[in-house]
Amino acid sequence: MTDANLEALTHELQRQMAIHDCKNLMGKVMYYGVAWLNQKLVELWSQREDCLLEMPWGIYDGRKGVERCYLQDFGDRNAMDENQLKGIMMLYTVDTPIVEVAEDGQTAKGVWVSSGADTWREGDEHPQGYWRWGKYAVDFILEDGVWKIWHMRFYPFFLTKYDVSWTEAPAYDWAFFPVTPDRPRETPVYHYDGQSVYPTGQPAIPAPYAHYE
Amino acid sequence: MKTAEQLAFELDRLGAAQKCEQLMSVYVSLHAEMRHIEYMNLWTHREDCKLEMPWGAYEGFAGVERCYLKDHGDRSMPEIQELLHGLLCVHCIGTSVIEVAEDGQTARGVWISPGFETANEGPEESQGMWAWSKYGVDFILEDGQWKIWKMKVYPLFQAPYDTCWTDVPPYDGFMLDTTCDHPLERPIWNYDPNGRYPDDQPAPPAPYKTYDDVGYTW
Repeated sequence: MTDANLEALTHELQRQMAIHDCKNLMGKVMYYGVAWLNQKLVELWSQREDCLLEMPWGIYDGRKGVERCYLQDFGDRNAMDENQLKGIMMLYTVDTPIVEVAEDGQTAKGVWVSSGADTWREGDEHPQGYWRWGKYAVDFILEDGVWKIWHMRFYPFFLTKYDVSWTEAPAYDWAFFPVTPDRPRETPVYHYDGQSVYPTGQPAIPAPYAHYE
Repeated sequence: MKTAEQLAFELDRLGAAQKCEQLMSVYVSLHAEMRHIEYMNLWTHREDCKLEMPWGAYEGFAGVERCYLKDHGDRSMPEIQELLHGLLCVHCIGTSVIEVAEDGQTARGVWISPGFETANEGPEESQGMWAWSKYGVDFILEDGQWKIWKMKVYPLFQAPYDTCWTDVPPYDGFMLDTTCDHPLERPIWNYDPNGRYPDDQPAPPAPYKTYDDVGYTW
């Protein structure tokens, strides 16, 4: 086998391994998130200043915005009183993946469908369970040989009490706790209202691409 | 530059992750059909197998065999024919994090499993239950085939379809008269409105060199 062939094979293998690494990254977001290990979750992100995190309630810009979302708005379990998390379980899954790695092997784009069983407690009240469905669209970037999350947008389907149809639920553009996004969402929250046509391209299904630009 | 042999090895490791994921899909698919005899081919037959269910631990392949063929039963067995009528237990797997050891001999993975269960408990009693859980699994390469080696099943919540998981009584496992070898060494957290979600049930696996570096952690 020629050196050129070996080099080409190495590149293609690394691109295939990137798909696995990006799927693992998204899995870790879910395991750390439900355990409220948000410091570990932040470490899955790139250090870049052009990071972006779009939540149902708004956008956090840059690495600082990502840290503010997870470490201030959510908080980390190790910096919280144990009673603050009593009965709370924000359990989300990721599935139905479509992942494309750039031909240059430096970035990747993926989308996932996410179902979940959200559980929140207001003060001393008994916890309330919600079904929470949505989609993730994520850009990944190779940083010092390690794949990191670069941009993440969440597209809500619904957040509804366990015994209330999603046709009856209000638009999912809110949070259970006070939040400090930098700005409003760029993508309107889709809300089932019995009349609206489900939007296309939210998120776009990633297609093969050469470079991120 | 990597050699052709090194590339082939890395390709095998990547393939191993896919094979382990597929093993778990086969595992939950066979369970829905109560085809537990076929589980015997999914597991290694080693004496150091371990299977931790919510109600207790089974040790060695003999324990695995006892759990599935005696405590659960197989659809071919006359003694469980009555049970099969109205029984429907479907557990999906997703949200995987899989790491294959650098030596390519073992792998470790976690999954979140949304599911539902239905059992015939009499004409007035049958009802659908939401049953969500998680898996932590160790795999081993045996004669060129990936096999399940050690597994822990983490329950999350079980609630009638019309009842919130925050409103069900405390979970005490759901299998009576089992033949497990001993109670669980570490208690498993099931949703508890008065408890805090644990930080390590399960912890997603990190990259590792050999199984001896990490051991059984579930």
